[in-house]
Amino acid sequence: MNEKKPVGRFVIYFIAIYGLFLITSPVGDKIFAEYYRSFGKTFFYSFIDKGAVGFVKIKKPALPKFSTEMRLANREVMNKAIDANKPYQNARVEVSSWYAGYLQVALLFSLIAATPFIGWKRKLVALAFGVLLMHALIWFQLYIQVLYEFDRNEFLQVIHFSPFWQRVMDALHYLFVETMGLRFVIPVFIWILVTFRKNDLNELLKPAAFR
Amino acid sequence: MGKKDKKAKAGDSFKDKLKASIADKNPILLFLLVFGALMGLFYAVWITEFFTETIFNPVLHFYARLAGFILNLFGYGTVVSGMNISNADFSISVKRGCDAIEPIALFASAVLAFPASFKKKMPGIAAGVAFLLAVNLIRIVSLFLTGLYAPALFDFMHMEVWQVVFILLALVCWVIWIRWSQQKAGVYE
Repeated sequence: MNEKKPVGRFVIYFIAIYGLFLITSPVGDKIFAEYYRSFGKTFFYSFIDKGAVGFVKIKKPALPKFSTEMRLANREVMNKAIDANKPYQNARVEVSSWYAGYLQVALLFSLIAATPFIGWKRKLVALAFGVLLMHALIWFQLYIQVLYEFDRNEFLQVIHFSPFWQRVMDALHYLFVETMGLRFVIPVFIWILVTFRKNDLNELLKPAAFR
Repeated sequence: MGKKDKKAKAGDSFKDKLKASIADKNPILLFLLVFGALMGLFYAVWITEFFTETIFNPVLHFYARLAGFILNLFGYGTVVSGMNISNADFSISVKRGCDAIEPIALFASAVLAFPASFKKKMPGIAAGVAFLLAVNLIRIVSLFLTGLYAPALFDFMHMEVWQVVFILLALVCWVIWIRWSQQKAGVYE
């Protein structure tokens, strides 16, 4: 590849790396889904004062790519029922680690790895910080979804928002959980933040860059 | 006495290195702040009922009609009703997410947030928006054809491919605009 065409190189490398993520997704998604469930269990098993959230693998998902079931319960009720060996009520929501994590990570990884002008050492540092920020994003998305579901499933008696906060939660849920757009926009912010320094612009603006 | 050198040197403490790194990123952080504020403003408007009624629905209707027209030029015999494009074998509904409005907002915000003269931003935004709108039409037509000839690939093309292609196109348009806007000014050369 011609060293004088970094933008074209970026596009080709990006397509190749992102394509690799998609091609390897049958294995990659399984591994990522396991990690996603364990991440969810770690941070949400004990949720605020009363909630408990479990992340369970769905053996035969009704919707493709929705291979995880989030089970929300009232912790006190759950513990009592477990002690008494009785069933307890919970709310179940199908979630997709693919749409809520794998694709975003693939996008961020492809953007960083395909960036021209930057050496591999800087790319590795950018990837490390990028992955850290992606974890924060995935955690935030889950947090919004868990709050929203606890509020919606009033019978669990874990949380109940005022009408104002319900509207705020509806908006956040719509942006971060229901629609995909913002999920693809945020990795772009992370990419710029962790990858670039002011001197990189000089490289980009060299006449050779677009030849 | 000269200016204090902010570059980190070997032997500097972690704190010094962090300070130097932030100083090195100052223009990037400023850009991201403005870029983020503009995108935040966009999403605050984007989510309203008013935006859906006055911008979204007419845009989606327009896309559906135009895509239907193009498909009919190639003899697919489609009928457009509201946001639905259908023929005897397949039907597609143009919905939120198929409008390219978010990649357009991403591109326009990035251009607006970049330090360049306003005179250069307007033609850049106009050209970029026109390009992304045109590509979106190709997306809708291609998705109809995918649904018709390879229905198993429809979701994959819709979610995994086209969404990311648009992000990539928005970024490439932005970089091309940066290059164009700075070429004559010679600011960074």
